[in-house]
Amino acid sequence: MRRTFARGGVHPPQRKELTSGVAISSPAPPAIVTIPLHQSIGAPARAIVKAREEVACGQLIAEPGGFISAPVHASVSGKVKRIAAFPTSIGPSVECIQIESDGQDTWVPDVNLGASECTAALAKSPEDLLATLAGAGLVGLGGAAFPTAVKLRPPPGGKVDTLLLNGAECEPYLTADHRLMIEEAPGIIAGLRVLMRVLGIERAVIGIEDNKPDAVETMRAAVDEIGGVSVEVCCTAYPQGAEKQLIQAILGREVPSGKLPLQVGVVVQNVATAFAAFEAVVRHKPLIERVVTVSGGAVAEPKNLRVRIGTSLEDLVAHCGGVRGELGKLIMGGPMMGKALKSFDIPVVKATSGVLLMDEVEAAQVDEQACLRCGRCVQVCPQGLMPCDLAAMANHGRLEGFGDGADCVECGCCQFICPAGRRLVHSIRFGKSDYRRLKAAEKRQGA
Amino acid sequence: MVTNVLYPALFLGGLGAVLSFILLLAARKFAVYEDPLVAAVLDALPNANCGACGYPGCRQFALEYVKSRDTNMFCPPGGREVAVKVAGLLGLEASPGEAPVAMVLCLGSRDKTKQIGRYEGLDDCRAAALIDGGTKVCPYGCLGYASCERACDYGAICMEDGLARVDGEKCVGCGACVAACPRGIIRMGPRGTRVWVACSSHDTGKAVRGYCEVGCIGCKRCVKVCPDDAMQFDDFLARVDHEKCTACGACIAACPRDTIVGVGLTAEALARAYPPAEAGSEGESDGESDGGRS
Repeated sequence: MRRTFARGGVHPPQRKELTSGVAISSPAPPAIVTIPLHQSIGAPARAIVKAREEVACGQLIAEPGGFISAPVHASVSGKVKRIAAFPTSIGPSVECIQIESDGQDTWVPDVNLGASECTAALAKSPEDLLATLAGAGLVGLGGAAFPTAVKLRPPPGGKVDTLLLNGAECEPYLTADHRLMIEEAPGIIAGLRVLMRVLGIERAVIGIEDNKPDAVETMRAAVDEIGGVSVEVCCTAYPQGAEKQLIQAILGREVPSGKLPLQVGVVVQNVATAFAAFEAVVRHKPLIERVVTVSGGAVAEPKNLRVRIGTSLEDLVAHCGGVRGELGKLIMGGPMMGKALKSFDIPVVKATSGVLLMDEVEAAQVDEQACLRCGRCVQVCPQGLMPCDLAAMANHGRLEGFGDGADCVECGCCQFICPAGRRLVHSIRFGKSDYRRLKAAEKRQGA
Repeated sequence: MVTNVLYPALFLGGLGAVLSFILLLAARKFAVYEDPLVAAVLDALPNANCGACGYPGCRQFALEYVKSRDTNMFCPPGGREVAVKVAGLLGLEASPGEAPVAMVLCLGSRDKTKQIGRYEGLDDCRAAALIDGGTKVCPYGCLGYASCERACDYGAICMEDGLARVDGEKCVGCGACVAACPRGIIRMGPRGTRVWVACSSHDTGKAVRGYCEVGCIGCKRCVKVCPDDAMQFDDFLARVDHEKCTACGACIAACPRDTIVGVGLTAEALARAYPPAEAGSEGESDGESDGGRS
């Protein structure tokens, strides 16, 4: 029997067929890019270029602003137009560097876009490799955008035995990782070996859901010759791609509440992150582009695009034949956890795995009604929480018992299944932020 | 027959007498002396237990007041009247302090600011602020989902066309709305005559013009005309220093965007703020209607 995670989960309509058969295409770099400085979890990066300065593609334009932070690189060559606050998917007003392309696409020296031989690169010391990854601005490309180098540097005492490569891609519609596994399997495996060397471990597992048999096949063929790496197939269920759920599904280990996967000796990385690691180490190419799925009922030609960070969604949609029919909702990310946006004038960031243009039917929401007390949200919660109670506590500001809410991963299963159309995730997220504030205030008072 | 009534009556009566005697002794023995002034002060307070004074409730305020005899301790909901009363109970003179009043630093109602998108989330500003802040384009202004209105125990805030408005007469200055606003656009100002810049946007003038009809564009005209040097200017936004401001109305007249609001202005200041030539067309501006309320 194929495995999956132990608790909860839902099966939303997949709709991956829109783009799963479409090869990744690389449109010409855009005329202008807007690159946010705050693209990862942690502190925003600090700009080190000035307006009107000439930059080359791949040049460092902002350095990390703290320990948990990632540098940012120019994604086109040209002139810095201005450094100002722009609306982004992270917030309505985020500091960005806007670069006007000169159309030349001149790269910084020592970038070798065609390289694929990784033996020499793999002989480097783990410290060198880690420094390269940190310098290339790598962040988790699955969506959370946690700086990769920080994740690969376990605190002293933390013992890691397994690297779990996340190829589950459980969000409906998205096929960016799926296509990447089919088209760039050798690169992903090379990246995986880089990550394994950095962590100093011999065992890695690649977890893929059974709705991607072609990707499983390609990846299995690619790992054949290497020991210690295996491909595991798990039964499709959402949210299999969440760290804790994937660890449970594949390794059968449960990450304790409030702890990191490190606690059970596992580091999880996305397949796209592994590929970016390969590019950074072997091709000396910093993270300036990524694969984005553009899909949904309101897009004329759904596609997987390899685009530069900072490309506006408008350009992205233009590459896909524009909007078809009535646009119901614009989402960055997947339909379950993605973020609805207000305009197309928003740049692609490192965490953008997909851009969905939902039509009116796909975007339709049930009117919110009173809770029916049916308990379905409790049944489907993969974290074993009681979403209905947490939401009620948050809505009424009774946060004394909200402690468990911190375990919520905001996967959206509860809201998906709720027959009363309650906005459970929004309530819980609201409660989480209020609870944090409450605890911080209590701590201040106690101190 | 009589005994059926008499014995229980005697027994229960006796029991009652004995127990009440014990209670009497206990009350004498364990009595805690409390200054009768505390009860008197507590009686004079509004007893709303709102916490606006900084104490958990009215009783704690009364205890502290009687103990410290500090007339600077102020009950905002009670205002001047209560301050005089409680000071009188202690034979003291009330200090001249008054409760502050809330001011909304935004005039961007739905018809005056640009909006995009459709908001389907929870009907709460703090919740909306978590996901891009509702539909208004301005990243600084009033979100319009009434968190402050719900936080106000005195009904002093109401939402008008997606903008919070404070009724200065009902506002007791407790500051609950200040804490509730995720955008931090509510501030406390002096009661009575006050002038403030009703905008919080630190965007450039060009950007503000792009999304709001009444936002501060940072032209600095108010700074130039102010005779009292009471206009501070920082990061494309003017701000009134209430210590220095004499509410002369000059800045209100100078502001090209009608962003500056004055309340309780003198007739002379009103005439200066809203020159008669424009009075016909713009006489009923926010400043004047607010002035009427205070």
